[in-house]
Amino acid sequence: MLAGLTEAVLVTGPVHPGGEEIVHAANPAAARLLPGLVVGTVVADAGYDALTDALVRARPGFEAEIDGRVLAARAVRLDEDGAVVDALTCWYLRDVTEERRGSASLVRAQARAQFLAEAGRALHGVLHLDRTLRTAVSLAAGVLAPTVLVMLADGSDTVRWARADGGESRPHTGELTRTALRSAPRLHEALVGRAPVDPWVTVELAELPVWNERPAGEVVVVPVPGALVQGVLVLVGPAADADALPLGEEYAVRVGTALSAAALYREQAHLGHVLQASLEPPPLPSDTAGGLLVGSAYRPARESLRVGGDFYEVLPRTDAGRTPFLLGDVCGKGIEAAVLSGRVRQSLHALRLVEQDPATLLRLLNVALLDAADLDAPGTPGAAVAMPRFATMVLGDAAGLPDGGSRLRLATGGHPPPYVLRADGRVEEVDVAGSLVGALRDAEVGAAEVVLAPGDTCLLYSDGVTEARGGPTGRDFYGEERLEAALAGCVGAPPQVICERVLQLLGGWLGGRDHDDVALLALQAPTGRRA
Amino acid sequence: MSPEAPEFAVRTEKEQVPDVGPRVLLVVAGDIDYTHHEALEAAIDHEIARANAPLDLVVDLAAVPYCDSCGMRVLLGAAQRIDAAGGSFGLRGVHGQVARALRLTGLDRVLGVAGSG
Repeated sequence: MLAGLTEAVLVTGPVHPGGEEIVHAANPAAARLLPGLVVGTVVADAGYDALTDALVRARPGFEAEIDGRVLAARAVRLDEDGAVVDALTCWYLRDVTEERRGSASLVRAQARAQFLAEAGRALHGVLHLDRTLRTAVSLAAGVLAPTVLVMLADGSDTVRWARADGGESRPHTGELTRTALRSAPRLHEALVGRAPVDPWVTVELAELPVWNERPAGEVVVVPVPGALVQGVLVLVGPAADADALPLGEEYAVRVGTALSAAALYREQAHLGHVLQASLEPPPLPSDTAGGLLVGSAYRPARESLRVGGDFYEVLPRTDAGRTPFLLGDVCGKGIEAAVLSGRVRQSLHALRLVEQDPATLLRLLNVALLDAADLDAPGTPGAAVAMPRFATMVLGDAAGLPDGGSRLRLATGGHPPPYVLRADGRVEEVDVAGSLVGALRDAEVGAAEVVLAPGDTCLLYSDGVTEARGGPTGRDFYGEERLEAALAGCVGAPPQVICERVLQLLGGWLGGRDHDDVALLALQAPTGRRA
Repeated sequence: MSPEAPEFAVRTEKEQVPDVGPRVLLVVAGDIDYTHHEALEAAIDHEIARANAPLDLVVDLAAVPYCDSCGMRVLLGAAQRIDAAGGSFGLRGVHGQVARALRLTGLDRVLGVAGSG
């Protein structure tokens, strides 16, 4: 009956009550698993200690490695009530070698997945190239291999590296110059992703000054893929197990992602700084520009990518004795605004070489910007109507008068008109209006002349001032009336103080809310006669 | 205390103008600023793309308290494209800061502005 069972079955029992256990029966499957057992012989003589032990101690089963196989045995006493002392025991045996091996590899796979997940978390969000590099080697040393090295090419002239030796807490880092890499051409090719990793790379690596002592034992080189950076992951020393290479490759992918993110972040941060710097108004020439006192204030939007294109400048006095100035604003935000603001200012600098009259300058600038926009638009001019790009501005120049006052020539395109604060405290809005610059072929340029008596101030401002939202409701515009009142309260103050006072009042109105760019430029005719 | 900024929304309505033909009305609510100008641009692009005849588009700004240079750029760009295609573009319900900004920039005469009256 037992012979027909595919399951291995073994029956043991004492020769007599309390006597030695002998093998009563074993089916072929059981004989294959425990070939030392012979029916009718003493179990203990077969030398299967786990079985003997289980019998003596009346265990319900055992699991043991026997002849290289893992056997699981379950014992069933054939006495119904447990009272009979010479009862037979039936052993059901199972070869669980594969099962156990499977679960061991499952455990390893789980450990791998956990390592990768933890590494991913640790690497993610570091967003700093060198720190990511150090983290990458620290995490892997002692796990993937005793010593781990990562080399990184980020498009610059040098290759950065970090190495961690398992057990040591601080990773070592350094840079290799292009000259140093000349002795390792294969590695260099592999680093920049132009060639696959080949055995020569390993040989070249050993010679580089990136080791504490020459790497001994197995050296595995895994490419680190990345969009902006490329590199290699080097594992040195005996591998933990056969899965080390695929695990290393998986790890390299995560390291590559983290390094690329860090490189991208660095690039964006750099771009942000360049952008900010390009939008920063240049310093004013001096506090007395051609007999004119000048002051300015600029408060960029808090969010750097919302920085718009407010700009202003006061140029040195021309040979004709005029001091040119301007304050403007380009449409849009961020990089686009920075580019347009650059184009506007450069165009003006060029146009000033041939033209000084503010209104004519503005008309020329309008044409220059429209022509440039046509060149930018795809296809023939007029065929595709591109999104308009425009600026608004007040530009002008100041010429000193014999009484110490100043005559301003103003031209405006689409910009809020300037104010004049008279020395006696009156505030006047200059009656000048024109249309946007750079958007319309038939643009209207407004022109006006203003005479500043000694002590009078002309204030140019961007719409970020009047359109600042705040107040009790948080939604009210600062508006012209408040600006006029603020200005009236500044009578007698020097121009720099006026600008800062207005900015201060505006800050109170905003109450910490975000805002667009704010720019102020104040020009004042000095009171005292100057030599 | 301080009321939240109103939600931005663009609603499309169709009108039949006697002796002229169909007109598309875009009713905008909220600030047309850096954050929202692209939503208006998308709505206008959608109308331009699906018009199979010269488009007669009117944008109603009665519920728009604020329009910055990004918004003016969208309105001007729309007017220029629709004009180039033989259609017509107009604004209505213009008031407050929007009216002032359009007047300052000279866009009131270009964009066919009708006030809220």
